[in-house]
Amino acid sequence: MKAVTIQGAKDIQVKQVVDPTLEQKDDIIVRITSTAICGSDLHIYQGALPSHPDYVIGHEPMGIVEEVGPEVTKVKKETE
Amino acid sequence: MESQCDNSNPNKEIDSGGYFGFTERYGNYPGGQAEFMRVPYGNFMPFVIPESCELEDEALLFMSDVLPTAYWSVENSGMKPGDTVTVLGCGPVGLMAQKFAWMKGAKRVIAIDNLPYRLNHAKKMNNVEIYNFDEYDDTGAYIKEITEGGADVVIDCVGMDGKKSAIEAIEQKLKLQGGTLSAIQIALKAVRKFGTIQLTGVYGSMYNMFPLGNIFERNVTLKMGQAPVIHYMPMLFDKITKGEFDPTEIITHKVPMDMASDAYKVFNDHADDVIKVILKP
Repeated sequence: MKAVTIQGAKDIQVKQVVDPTLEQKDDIIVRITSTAICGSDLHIYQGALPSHPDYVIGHEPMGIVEEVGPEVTKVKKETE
Repeated sequence: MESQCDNSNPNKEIDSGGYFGFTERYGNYPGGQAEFMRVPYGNFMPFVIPESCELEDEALLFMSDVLPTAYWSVENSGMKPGDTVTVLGCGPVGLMAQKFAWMKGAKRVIAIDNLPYRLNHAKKMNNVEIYNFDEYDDTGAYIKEITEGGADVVIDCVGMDGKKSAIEAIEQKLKLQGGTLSAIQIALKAVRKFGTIQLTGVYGSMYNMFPLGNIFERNVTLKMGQAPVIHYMPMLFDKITKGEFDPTEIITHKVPMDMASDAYKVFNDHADDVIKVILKP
């Protein structure tokens, strides 16, 4: 999938990364329809909060449920 | 409360909850600026938008952080109807905190920043009094004067990224200082005796010359932290669908996710009158 990644201070690259997969039984995978940049993301952008190359940023997303783990009861595929 | 969840952050050195897209320190979860995202705790984390809702993404997107953070800031500050509230910062969270202060019955809402375009946005969006801190030698003292003793509540929506003094800039480079205390220095004078300063803008690491004595001697309460955002989503959804406020008022840029590199630069540089950027995967 495509994602916004940090490569180093002030180096953002949109690139292909590995698709996320269900890891726990109560995980879900969401197909993101909209997402925002937060001021606190700039701490990562500026290098104040160290990360590693290809790390995917972002904590303001929304989307549609694509996949659910076997223990998920709250949502199902296609739930917004 | 999710922001202080004991289980979601596998980094045992940090006693704080995990956050999406916020590096190894906060759990190393890949973030949501992507085509897909893994969401753990699928029976707790998602807020489900009812099928009947016909609002666009833009009206709902900020339930993910900005709106709960701003709303919680006003609540956590203990602000009461009739209070005078000063909000430091006219970024997305500051703008929404100003709006929520009015909605909670503030008598007077004062907004401070040093970017004229953001101050003008605050005036237009929230009908607040605006003051540019670059135009005053001592902005905190000025606010104290015009509020006759200080605001009941000061909400700092700036944090460590405010305007640094020359010494702070050097100290930060040497890793002796987490960031600037300039917002707190304004807040501690702008607040009244027995008032409350709510820190919402992020403060990381440690701070030299923290004016603890000045806060102590005026019986000021200092509150702070990360908002427990998930708890606020249902109530905020209800207010949005009833039309009590319009979250899209803070959006200035909506671009394809492919343009993220440029979008980060614009946002970081406060270029093009930016306030809030939405990316479309």
